[in-house]
Amino acid sequence: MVSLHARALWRDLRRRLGQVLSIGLVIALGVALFASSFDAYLNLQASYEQMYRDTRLADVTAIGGPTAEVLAAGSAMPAVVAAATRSVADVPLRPREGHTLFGRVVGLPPDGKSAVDKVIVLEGRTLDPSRPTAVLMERHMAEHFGIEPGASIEVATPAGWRSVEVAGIVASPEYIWPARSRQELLVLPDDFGVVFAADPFVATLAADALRHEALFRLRDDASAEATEEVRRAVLAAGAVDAYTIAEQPSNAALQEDVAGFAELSVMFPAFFLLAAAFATYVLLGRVISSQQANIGTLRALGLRRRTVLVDYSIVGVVLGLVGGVAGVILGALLAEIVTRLYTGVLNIEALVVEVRLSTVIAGLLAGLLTGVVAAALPARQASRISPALAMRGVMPPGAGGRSSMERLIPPLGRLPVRWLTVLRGIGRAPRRSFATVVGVVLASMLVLVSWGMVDTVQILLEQQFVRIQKQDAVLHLGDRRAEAVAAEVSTVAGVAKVEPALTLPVTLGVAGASYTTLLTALQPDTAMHELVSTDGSTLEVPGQGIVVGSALRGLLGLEVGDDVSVDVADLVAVPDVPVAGFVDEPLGTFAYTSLAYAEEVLAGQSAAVAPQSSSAADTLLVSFDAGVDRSAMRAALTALDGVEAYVDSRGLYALAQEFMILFYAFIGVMIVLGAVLAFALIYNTMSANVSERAVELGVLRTLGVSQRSIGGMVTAQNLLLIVAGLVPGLLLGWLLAALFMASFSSDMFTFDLRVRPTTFVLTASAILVVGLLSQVPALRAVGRLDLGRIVRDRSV
Amino acid sequence: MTTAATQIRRVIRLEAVEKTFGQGDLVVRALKDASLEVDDGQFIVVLGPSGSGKTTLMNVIGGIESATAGTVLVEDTDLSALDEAALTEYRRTRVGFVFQYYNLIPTLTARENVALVGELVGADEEAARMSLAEVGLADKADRFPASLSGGEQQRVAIARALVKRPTLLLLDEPTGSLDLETGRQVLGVLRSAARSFGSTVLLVTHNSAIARMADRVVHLHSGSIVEDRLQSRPLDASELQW
Repeated sequence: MVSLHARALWRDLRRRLGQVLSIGLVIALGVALFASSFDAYLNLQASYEQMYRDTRLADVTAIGGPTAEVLAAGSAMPAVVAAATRSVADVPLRPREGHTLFGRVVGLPPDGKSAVDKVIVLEGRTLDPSRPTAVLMERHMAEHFGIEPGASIEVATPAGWRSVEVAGIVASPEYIWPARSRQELLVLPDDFGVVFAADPFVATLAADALRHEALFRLRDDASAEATEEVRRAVLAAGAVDAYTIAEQPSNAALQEDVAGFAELSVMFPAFFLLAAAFATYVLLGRVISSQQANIGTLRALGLRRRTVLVDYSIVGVVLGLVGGVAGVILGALLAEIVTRLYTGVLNIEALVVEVRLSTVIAGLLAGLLTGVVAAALPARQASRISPALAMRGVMPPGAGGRSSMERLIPPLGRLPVRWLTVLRGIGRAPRRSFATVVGVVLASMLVLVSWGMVDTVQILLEQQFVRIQKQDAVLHLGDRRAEAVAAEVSTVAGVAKVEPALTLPVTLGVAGASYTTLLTALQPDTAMHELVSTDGSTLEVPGQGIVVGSALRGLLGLEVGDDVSVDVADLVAVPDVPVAGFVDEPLGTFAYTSLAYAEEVLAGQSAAVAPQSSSAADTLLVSFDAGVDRSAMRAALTALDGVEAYVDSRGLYALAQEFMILFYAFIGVMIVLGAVLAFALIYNTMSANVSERAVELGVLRTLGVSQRSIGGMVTAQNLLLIVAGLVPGLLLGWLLAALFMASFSSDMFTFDLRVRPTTFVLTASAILVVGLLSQVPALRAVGRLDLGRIVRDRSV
Repeated sequence: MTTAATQIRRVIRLEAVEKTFGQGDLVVRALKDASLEVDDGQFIVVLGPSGSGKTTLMNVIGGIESATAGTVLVEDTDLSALDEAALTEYRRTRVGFVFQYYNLIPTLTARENVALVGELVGADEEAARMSLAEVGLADKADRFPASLSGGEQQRVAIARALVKRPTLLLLDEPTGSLDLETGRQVLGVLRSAARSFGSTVLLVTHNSAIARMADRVVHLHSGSIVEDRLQSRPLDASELQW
């Protein structure tokens, strides 16, 4: 049975339906953000893990070294349940006439059934021992070139181009994200594709492009320590490099992405729930203030303190629960939508969508806690209202005094009185003013973090593809000498400049730690690549030593001057080389040196690396004249004798920008939510302010103060509070954005926060606009004041 | 024939004014066929029990509420022809209000409360000080309402109403929250200040004792003016007893 006092309380709340609904909405949004992002994160993790289990993706992959010994060493580890070896060759492929790309052929057992790193046949059939040269094509390549089972493609072999049949189209857990390597995560489908073939066939492909790998699958419950033990064992057995499933390029890229959901599931919901707590506090504080005489009277008549405490606490519980339930339901729907969208776009061959009881409980608890905590103080205050004081009739809130600003800046005391009411009005209800400021701070942070992420990605992509990488295309050369091909390339109409370069997969090592990357050797006066240092200056191409990506400072503990070993796959072992500097590149962690130094270091080994060249060069970096037809350039250059494959560097920029569209959509949603947050909180506090001062404002209207003037005073007070919140909000938002971006940084991506000055202005403007809009309902209420009733009844 | 000495200016003229609230079955006739003429400088007490329509009468004259029917002329301005903005302008320039519960702004000092209204009509700070001095509060100009007694707050409210030299001073139960002694003091200040500023006073109350200080007493009952009489010898405020 609801007490009459409680009934009166709920009726009063019904009169403030707008405020109640806004609080419920903010709680629901906060809980929904948490539930959707957390469950989406768990769903995606589970989906990946399901696919990896079904396909037995290798937990440890060992590259190079004596294959038999490496296989034996790994297989002997107790956690290993399956092992296999294979050959992998990075060779040119021709998916169609006139189009050559630098692809990869991965070995499988002749019947296509591997114990580790299985493929899923989507169309056609698997490998057949009776057809030893047939291949299975990875789905991305098949979809891009429109290739179906039964079609033929060409593979470059030592004996020349060989036509092979595509027996089937497959999905591979290693290429869910079709990255060429950990350093080359962004690759155009025109430039890279993967086929699977019988291992004996792969072994016949170009020896200098061949590597041998040993694959190990551990028990499902194997620990990270057990995985690391296997990795150490295979390295000790002679493997040149070994990476775990966490470092596998496709999985690493996907995990970076998914990790974002986990980050979001904490930070952004916290904003909303904190704002909702403040709004609840403001609402209840206002209700109690308006009911003070009633509460005092009832207390004088014997109403227990405990009853008052419980009645007001229940308001918080109900608001929190209702918001929490709505949020959990919304969150579950969103989690499913996001999971299905994600797995659909990425073609993940497993879908796990669950509504987890733990998430539901956590969401409900978060909502409940918000309401309970927010109501606790007002409920306690209400229960402690002195009946005597309450019934005496109270002064309107604000005991009277000059504002802090007037004390700080005494000349402000000479302002027109209506402006003094604005300044002092802020201090009349300091907690409410503080709640407004907090709302603005939170909303500013949310908007700036979101917008800052957009700025960072845009600026860094521009840095990568405009400042750092200046070439338009990279030509991979075949058996012709680089000098001769370069001479022909420079005669092609539209080519502005050609430079030779050497690109080698290398493993850098120091004191037991190693890192596999690409080493690019450039001309000393290169116009194709700018080496941007960590302080933004430009480094020279080192005449001695190598410059490496700044992530290696932490990963390998390197400093300038340190010596590092360079292992060029199985081909050569070179003397240690000194580190000449660090570069700051957004995408990937690479190493650079000069062509001359590469030749000196490789001394006598260059023939093994680039037999076709008198120098060490095996690629050409090409820049085009402005406005050329890029497709025509590709056709013209790949038609040249000696050009094995063509990589469109500018196309990568366009691809990266395309990938960002989903990201921008997500950020757009975050910015809108930030605006909703600001609106809800400021609306709440403004409504409470105006409601509390309704009689006073009505009296001012009767005295002849125009509605416009009153609106101006309310707006001015609101604006002061918004500005007071914007300053710390923008600063904290910038700091939080820096932390957030840094959490995404790794050797694959370097995300140093970059925020354009205009973003601060736009964020502030957006919050100001929202703040002004949110007070419109309160101003309208002022306009609708029944002056006669105020004069007659001193009520509204 | 009238001479300059005897020429009296008619400030208020109400003709058959009606004011109803509500609609359908719930119609309340707060004023019925009210006709009234008020001369410049008069101190009029409007008497009546609760619900008699006295506050409604004050509101209609003050431009806070509009009459449902009839004519309301104040200094020959027909209030029924004015829109909201014009009514606000009318109240700003020609009407001073004093309420039962003072309704001072708590974050402004006594002087600032008066100056706030003075600013509306371009009055300077000196006008605010003079207004406060007129009500005997010059020495408390810089105090906040919370540190003033009820009577002092009401006197500030009177000063606030008078700072713009209004044609009309409308008071609704100005002594309703005050004790006898304070009430007398406030009424005394009111009378002398109104004379000084040349305002016509309409004081609405249910307290018949206060009527004895008025130049004229208008009785309302159930929305109708049932009596309208001049008093030959109004008492001084200090002589009032209730």
